[in-house]
Amino acid sequence: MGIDIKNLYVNYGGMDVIADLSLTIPEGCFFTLLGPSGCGKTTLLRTIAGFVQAAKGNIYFQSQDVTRLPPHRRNIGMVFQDYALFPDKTVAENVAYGLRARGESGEAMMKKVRHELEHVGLGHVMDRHPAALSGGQRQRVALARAMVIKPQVLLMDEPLSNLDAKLRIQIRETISDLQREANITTVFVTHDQEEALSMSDRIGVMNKGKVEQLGTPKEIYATPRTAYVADFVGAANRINVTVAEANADGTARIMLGDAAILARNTLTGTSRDGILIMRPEDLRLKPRTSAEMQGLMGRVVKRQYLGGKTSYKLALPDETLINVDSHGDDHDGFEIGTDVIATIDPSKAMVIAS
Amino acid sequence: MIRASDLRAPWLWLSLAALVALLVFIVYPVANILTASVSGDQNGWSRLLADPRGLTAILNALILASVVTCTCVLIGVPLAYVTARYRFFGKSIIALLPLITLVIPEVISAQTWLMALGNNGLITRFLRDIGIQLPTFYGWFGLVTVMTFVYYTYVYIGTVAAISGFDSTLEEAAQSLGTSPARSRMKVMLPVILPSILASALLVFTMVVGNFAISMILANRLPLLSVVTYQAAVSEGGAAPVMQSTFATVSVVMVMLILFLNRWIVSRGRFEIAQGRGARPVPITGWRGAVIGLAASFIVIVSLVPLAVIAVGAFTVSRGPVMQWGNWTLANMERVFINAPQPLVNSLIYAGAATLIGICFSALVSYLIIKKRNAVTPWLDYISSIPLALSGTVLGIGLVVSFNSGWLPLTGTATIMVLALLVRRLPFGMRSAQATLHNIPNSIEEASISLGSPPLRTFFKVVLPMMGPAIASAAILTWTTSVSELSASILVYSGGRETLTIQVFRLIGSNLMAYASAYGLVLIAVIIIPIIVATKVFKIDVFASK
Amino acid sequence: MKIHTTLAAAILALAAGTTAFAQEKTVTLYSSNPEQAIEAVANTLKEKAPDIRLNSITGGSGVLLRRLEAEASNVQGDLFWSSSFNTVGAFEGQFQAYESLELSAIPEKLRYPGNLYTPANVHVVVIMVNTDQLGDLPAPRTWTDLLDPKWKGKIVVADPANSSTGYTILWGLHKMIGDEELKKLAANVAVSSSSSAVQSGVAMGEYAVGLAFEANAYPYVDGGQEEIELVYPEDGTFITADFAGLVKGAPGGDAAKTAFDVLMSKETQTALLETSFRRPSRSDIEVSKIVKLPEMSAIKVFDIDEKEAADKRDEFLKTWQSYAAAGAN
Repeated sequence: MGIDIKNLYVNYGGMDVIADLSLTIPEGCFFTLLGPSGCGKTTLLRTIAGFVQAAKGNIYFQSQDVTRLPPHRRNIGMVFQDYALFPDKTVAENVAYGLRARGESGEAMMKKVRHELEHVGLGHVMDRHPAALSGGQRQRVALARAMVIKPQVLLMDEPLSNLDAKLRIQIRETISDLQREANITTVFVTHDQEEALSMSDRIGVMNKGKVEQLGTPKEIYATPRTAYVADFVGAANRINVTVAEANADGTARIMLGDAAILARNTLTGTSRDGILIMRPEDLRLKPRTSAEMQGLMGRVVKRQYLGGKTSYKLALPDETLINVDSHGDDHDGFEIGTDVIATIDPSKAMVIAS
Repeated sequence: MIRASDLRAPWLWLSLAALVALLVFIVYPVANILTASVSGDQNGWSRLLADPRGLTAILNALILASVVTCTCVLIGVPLAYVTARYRFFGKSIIALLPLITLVIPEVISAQTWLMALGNNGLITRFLRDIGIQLPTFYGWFGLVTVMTFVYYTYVYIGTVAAISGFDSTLEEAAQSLGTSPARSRMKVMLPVILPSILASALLVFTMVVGNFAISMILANRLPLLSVVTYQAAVSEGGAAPVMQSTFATVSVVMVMLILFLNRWIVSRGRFEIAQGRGARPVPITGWRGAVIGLAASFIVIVSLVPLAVIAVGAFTVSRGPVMQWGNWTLANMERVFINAPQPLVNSLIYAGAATLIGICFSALVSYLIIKKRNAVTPWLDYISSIPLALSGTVLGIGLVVSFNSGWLPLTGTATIMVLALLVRRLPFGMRSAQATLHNIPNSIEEASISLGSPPLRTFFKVVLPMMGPAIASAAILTWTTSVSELSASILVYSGGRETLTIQVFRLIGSNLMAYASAYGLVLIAVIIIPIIVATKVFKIDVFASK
Repeated sequence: MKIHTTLAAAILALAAGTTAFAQEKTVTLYSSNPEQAIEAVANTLKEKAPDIRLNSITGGSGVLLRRLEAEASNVQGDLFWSSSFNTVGAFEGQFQAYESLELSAIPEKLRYPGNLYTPANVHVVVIMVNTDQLGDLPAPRTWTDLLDPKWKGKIVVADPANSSTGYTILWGLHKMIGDEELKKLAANVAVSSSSSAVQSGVAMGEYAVGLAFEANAYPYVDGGQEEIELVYPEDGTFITADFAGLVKGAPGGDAAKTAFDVLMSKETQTALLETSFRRPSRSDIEVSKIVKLPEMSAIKVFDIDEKEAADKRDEFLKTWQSYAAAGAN
């Protein structure tokens, strides 16, 4: 069951927190709303759930207009950051809650509950109370509780933020598996780009109540359309530049001091001022030789050894600092003070409008 | 701003219904008091200004409240400090303190103190024999003494809570920076716990201003606001309530000012103490330990004397007003349970109904206030806290004046009795329900709704069970304070509707101490048994919400 | 035919009986009398009219009367019992005249004009003495004994403004011993807000001497408190009747009248004498045969004009206030 959002407006106290937002989420899609706190992603999720009333616009589940439908009649499954388990009820009763609300009872219902809990690997804690569970277990119960009612859509509000790093990866997998098996349309809210990239079919990067860019994880990462997206999804070096020469093959030649660099050109019209975007892991370091004029000339000012890679900070001739992550053998081979040259594949560097 | 979607949900309608109830039973009576003071042939205020007795009564009330507040702080704060910071012999009985204030009816406290310090009291006679003449107990001396020993526990409870919440590492930090222990305590701890002390001191102040039972017995020749208010109320009745309304208005204004002062102090005193480690009590032995232990035990034992006196009195043979100490009987108790059980039955029914309705109302209205805000809910919040500013006498007057006749005649019904208890104790339930609701995350409710449970069902199935323990403790507090309520119910009761406290008050008025003790003992049992059951059987922390 | 009538009559009687049984009538009594006295009435009523349930509201007589006045639009009480002539006199509008079936047993001299109220019992003013508290002072034998400044602070009397007992006693004394003497007395006495505090004050030893009604003071002697004595002053004392009245528009209707008659019956008055030592207003009860109190004939009685006491109430209260204020300095 797909979700269609048309020209949605939401306001709090006279201020539009979401303005004229339209979005289509195909059936069975794992859709992530990504953005920093305050960008409106949670508001959008809660509007889809029905806890927040739309001021204008419509929300459709498939072809049904649910805009005015109260949340308890939308048949949604929801998972919360703080788990929101009922503390006075056992694990089994928590999971059974939605089934009971749908008039189910008895052994048939308990069978579903048991099955769902076993599915998330918690068949053995059915009679415990939430307080006796670990954080990861609690979130699994919450997941089972949301899934057992076979909802039309699954809504998740930062479900992994309260967990530690290791658990986060485990639960991530559980969520992905369950979602794929049930083939349920899912809206997942997070501020964590790694979560977004690893789990989603599609990502909507949100900024100030608008979807800034929509696409597959790869599209979002590789071809950010705005500096905001580039910055938020993955790390990026941003340098204000003026394009020296716009080539017919879609590349731009940019002069940085004496050195030149080629990058994909997304500027349109006559505009020449833009921002050069380069991800630290895409830059390659070489010792500087006088002949080499293609690349960024710099001097190593900081070096952090991180095991699998080394993170360098280079000072460009105009004292701009950029980050470079070096992988491969001998990745920590450049001493502080060394003059280096950083090169980049033209397909991976990009000039966007500022 | 009300949206169409708000009209469909039940909350707005429930809020409006609650608002109507609060307007009728709280605002309307208070408004009647205020308007009645300026109505009638002669304006109550000009009569007040012309009557030196009335003005003296107000002045005396202020003086008495100030003095008692000071004495309560002088006893309560040191006692709290030593119990929070030291371990010594006899400390465990100090844990009984909060119970004592709750269970001993003030009438009985006053009467017992008379037996010790009256003209013919045990202590008075002893001191007279060795040549010391105490001042008469009827008046300042008696009022200050009895009220101090009845009310200091409020300062004690408030201060103990503040000291145990105080992060002792702050004190250690001050010491590490080179100040002496005593100085660091003064410099660091005092400013932090001061707001709590002041808040509890102001509570004592308002309670002294509104005190009825002790004042009635001991302020014979001293005009006091609460007594002249009561006398005006009973003499004017409900038909032309001019003077009682004037006095009541004075009392309301006085208490309101104090409450605002309190709120201001509390808001200024909001020091963020990052969940500190309270200091562990250290044992104190030797002569200092003995002195502290003895002093603390003395205070507590003195507070317990009235309890002992009525326990003995309840089983002592009497003939008319004369107690035959040393001769024991069950006749007094037989009277309470068999010959004249009506007051007991009444107390159980009225307090039970007031508790049940009060708790349900508090739970629902607090839920609206905290979780379902709309244009109406802030008003529910304000209005439901008005009874805090009303002494029992004032509330009683308001109810009598408003429901004596007219569109809703309640005089002489059981309803007005329940109403008096209900309104008077409503803030207890509200405060405790709101505190719990603040701690229930919204997501719990939304989880339930998202699972297909409609909002009302969610409230009953999820929110209410989570409020359970807090509701239970609020119910017990409401129950105990409703059972012991006197000052409002004595103004609204009618024949056959007397409660245990009214009966005790009446019997003491008729000098029948044995019967009064028997009813008093049963009253204490009715108060204390639910507390014991709750704390021992259900493990409810009754005093958590105080 | 005859059988039918008998049957019908029987059924009617039965029906009447059951309705009477089912409709238990309630009579509300506003009483300033002590608990035991009210209980004596309730017990007699239980025997004589078992279908009537007695509710009582107790309080000071002035308080109760003003409450009746306030409730005039929504009458709550049926009977008022009891207070002195001067007190009830101010509330005539709240009561209805009623000639009790028991009226013939009550001497005419005691009755209220027009039988708006009926005397229920007679009070004798006495000096209640706690001999333990006398110290070096000799027990008083006369009123004038109490005028000596040595008694200052040792005598207690109820506030005449708030207590009809206090008013009756002080007005009577004023008439008997005169202005100057009353002024001297005022300098010696402590005033308590209620009359019950007078007895308890003396009994607990708060005061050595209290001016009280015999019926209120005697229970302490009867209870076995040996240091309490009642003194009937040799220079004479005075009596006053307590009046009861039927409230105008009493909701109890005929049941209220029945209860009123029970209040005046020989049984009630005897029971009252036995349990709360109230001298009967009826002339057909021999007091000393029932309790250890002297017969009226043995007490020297000074006559008081109750009407005058009632008429000059405000004036006297003002006088007393000024004496009391002067005495306090």
